[in-house]
Amino acid sequence: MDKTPDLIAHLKEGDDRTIRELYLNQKKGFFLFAKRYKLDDDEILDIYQDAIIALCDNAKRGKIDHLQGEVSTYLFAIGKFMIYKKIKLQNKTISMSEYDPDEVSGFSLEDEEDHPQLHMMGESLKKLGEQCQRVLYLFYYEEKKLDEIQTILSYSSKDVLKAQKSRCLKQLREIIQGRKDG
Amino acid sequence: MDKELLLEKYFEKSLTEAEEIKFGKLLEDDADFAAAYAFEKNVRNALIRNEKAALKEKLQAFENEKPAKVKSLRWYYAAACMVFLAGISLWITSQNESGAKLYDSYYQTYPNVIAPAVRGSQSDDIQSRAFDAYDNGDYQEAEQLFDEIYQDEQIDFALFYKGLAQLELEQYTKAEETFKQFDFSKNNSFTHYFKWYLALAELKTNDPKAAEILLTDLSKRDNPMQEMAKELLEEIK
Repeated sequence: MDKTPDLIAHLKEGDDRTIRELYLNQKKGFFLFAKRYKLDDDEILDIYQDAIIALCDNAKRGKIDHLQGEVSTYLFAIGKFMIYKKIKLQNKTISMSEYDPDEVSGFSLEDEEDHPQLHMMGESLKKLGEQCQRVLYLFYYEEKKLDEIQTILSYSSKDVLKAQKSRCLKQLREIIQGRKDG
Repeated sequence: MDKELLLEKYFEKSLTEAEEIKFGKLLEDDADFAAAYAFEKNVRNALIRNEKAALKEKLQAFENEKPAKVKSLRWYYAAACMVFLAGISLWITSQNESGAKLYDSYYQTYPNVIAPAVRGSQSDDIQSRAFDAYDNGDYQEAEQLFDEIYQDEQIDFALFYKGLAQLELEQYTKAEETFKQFDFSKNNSFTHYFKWYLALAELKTNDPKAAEILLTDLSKRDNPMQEMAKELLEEIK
């Protein structure tokens, strides 16, 4: 397995081989650790996958560029946090001595805002042209500044890029409107 | 400053304090601005949602991967022969070796689930240094630091990770001694793991009888290691 900075760099790129290797290598250890919380295998698998997803998401969005220690440790911290969240939702009790929310510092779960409007937006985004998808992805998902995107996508000026971004948002609005009307 | 630029700076996370105040005021007073903000925020959330859904599909595919099929019957027979021969040779080799092999197939490095750290949030105390060493595979240093913590504070996790560091250093007898210092009448989140790793260490040091007692105990009660203990017990018998 790569050293931490290399591994994070590969996760940032969304490298399938790295994700697969990490996923398969850590799975047994995660189950070993998670079984103490009286969750069944399906629940643990679901949490494990969500933890991997959160890890990759944080890597891509530059939130763990300065991670100290092993990525696997960070993954387990996310998983542990998610297990506590699930247990809390199920109203199961856990020993308070085990619960220490501070230990997952540096990690934040985005609020899951999964409503139909978001679903429609997600589907509409896929209908945009490739260039628009790329611009919006870099700006809103990877949280890159317009100056950086200008370099990455080789735009002649920032104003051209800004105009392109506005056009993309306009197109997106039209697609959504079309779906609503249709 | 125009409103579009304010939104742009918001998503670039580069608003100044004064701009943040202006931004907040516009959200309250200007319905068009608030709608544009809500739209762009939804774009961001929908992109996150799409990314997560795509990755979830990918992970599910890893999960559904089937082991490679045997290409032909001839290879199947050859493989079966190999397994048979391997079985015979395993049977011939000493009990000692079989215990060690079981250890190798069941041993899994226990992760640091106590003190994960991100730069900036980490303190320089001995606990952080111990887990740092453990995370980085410097088990010699980890063993020493966990030992110090245990001497000072008698905390179970320090004893547990000291024993784990010794297992990683292949100091099995020492690890056994360390795990045996745990008060097994306690029933906390470490108890079953102490028993599990002690049983593995005993297998490795050719004491299957002692391992069997611990594994039998683990297999009878509802605990995280119950299924693994049952499985290993079957293999020992």
